[in-house]
Amino acid sequence: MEMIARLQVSQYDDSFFHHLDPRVKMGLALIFSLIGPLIENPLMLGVLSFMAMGYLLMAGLGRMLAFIAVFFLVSMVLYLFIEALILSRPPQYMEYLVLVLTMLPIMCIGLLLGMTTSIEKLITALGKLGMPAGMRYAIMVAMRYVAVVGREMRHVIQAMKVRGVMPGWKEIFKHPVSTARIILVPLLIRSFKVSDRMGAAAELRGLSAPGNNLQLAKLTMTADDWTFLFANLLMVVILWLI
Amino acid sequence: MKSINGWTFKEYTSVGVAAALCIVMGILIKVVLGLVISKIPAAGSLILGMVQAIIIGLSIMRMPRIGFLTVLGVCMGTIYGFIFPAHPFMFLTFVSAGLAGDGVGWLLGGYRKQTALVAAVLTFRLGVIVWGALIAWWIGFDKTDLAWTLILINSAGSAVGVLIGLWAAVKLSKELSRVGLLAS
Repeated sequence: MEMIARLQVSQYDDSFFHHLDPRVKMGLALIFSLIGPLIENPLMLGVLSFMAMGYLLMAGLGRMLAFIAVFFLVSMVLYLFIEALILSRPPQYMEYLVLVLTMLPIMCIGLLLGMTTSIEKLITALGKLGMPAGMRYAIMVAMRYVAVVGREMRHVIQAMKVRGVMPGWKEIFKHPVSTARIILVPLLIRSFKVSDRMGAAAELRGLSAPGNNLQLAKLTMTADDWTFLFANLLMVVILWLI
Repeated sequence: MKSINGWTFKEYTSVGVAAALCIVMGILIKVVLGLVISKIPAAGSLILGMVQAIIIGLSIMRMPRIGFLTVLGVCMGTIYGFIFPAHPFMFLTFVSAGLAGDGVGWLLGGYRKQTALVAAVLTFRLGVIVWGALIAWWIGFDKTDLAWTLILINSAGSAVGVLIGLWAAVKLSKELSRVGLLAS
């Protein structure tokens, strides 16, 4: 009953999915992406897609559905273009629909994992799955730095505008290599300096101390976690077998 | 500096930063140039290959260690494979491509040799495309010959992009040596 009550909570940071162990969400990603594509019945694929979209809505991530819609719209344009111009055959709309219905649940579960899991929990979960500490640290840096790159790029572009060397759209398309050079070099210089500082800070904070296994959060698989994982596995297998 | 599995935290940080740059550049290229490059087959792979080759090439020149591409593959594979678009084959794709790239680099005598660097980065990029075809096969593209056409087009585009990118990286390495970020 407690689990059902928690399922109904759909506020940010406090939904059932925010409290799920990241290993369960990874398990869901595995189940949806490995067994999901085996389902051949479009109707059952539709049921699976609705199930995954429902999870997104329950996690308070309804706005991500709009993002997914735009993604599929752009891919449809690309798909129709390839079908018509490269393969020179009439577009197979049913085939495309089945493809969308196969990909949709996988994307929804991926977004669910990415948007409802903190980096600390994810890194700890990866450690519990046996990944070495160094690699987890590199992943943590990558995930944190993805957010920083945008800011660094803005700084680089601002500095280029101030100096009057910012290329226009025409120049970007006419000279892509030199554009890459003038944007990438300052960005790489900044990134290398930041990586040096972060590496030194990690050492100073004792992350490389013996016995430190980067356990950043407390994680235990509860009965709710196991129940949810096996219920989903059962549901997807049933949809496959129908 | 203390190390974990023979690597220092500074080295792991370098790989993490390179992975983040590759991911962000990949997204930016697809989003910003998406409408234009979708009209020209292989243009996306070419530009992406070029930019990623510059980033990976310069990062390896800065830290020429065998294992760089494998750790990079693990970072990118975890993010692509379990977070977005969350297909576990993406994890396998990146890790196996990284292992293959490092293997080629090791066989050719380490990343201090330019030939080994070029061959390793090329193997990594092409490995990602060819192994990535497994995903296309799994989600049903095998019903058409679309996947194989795309693999061939993208592999060719990516190979050209990587070669241009590494050529640019060698030129840029001189600028970075001048500011003391790369050993000359």
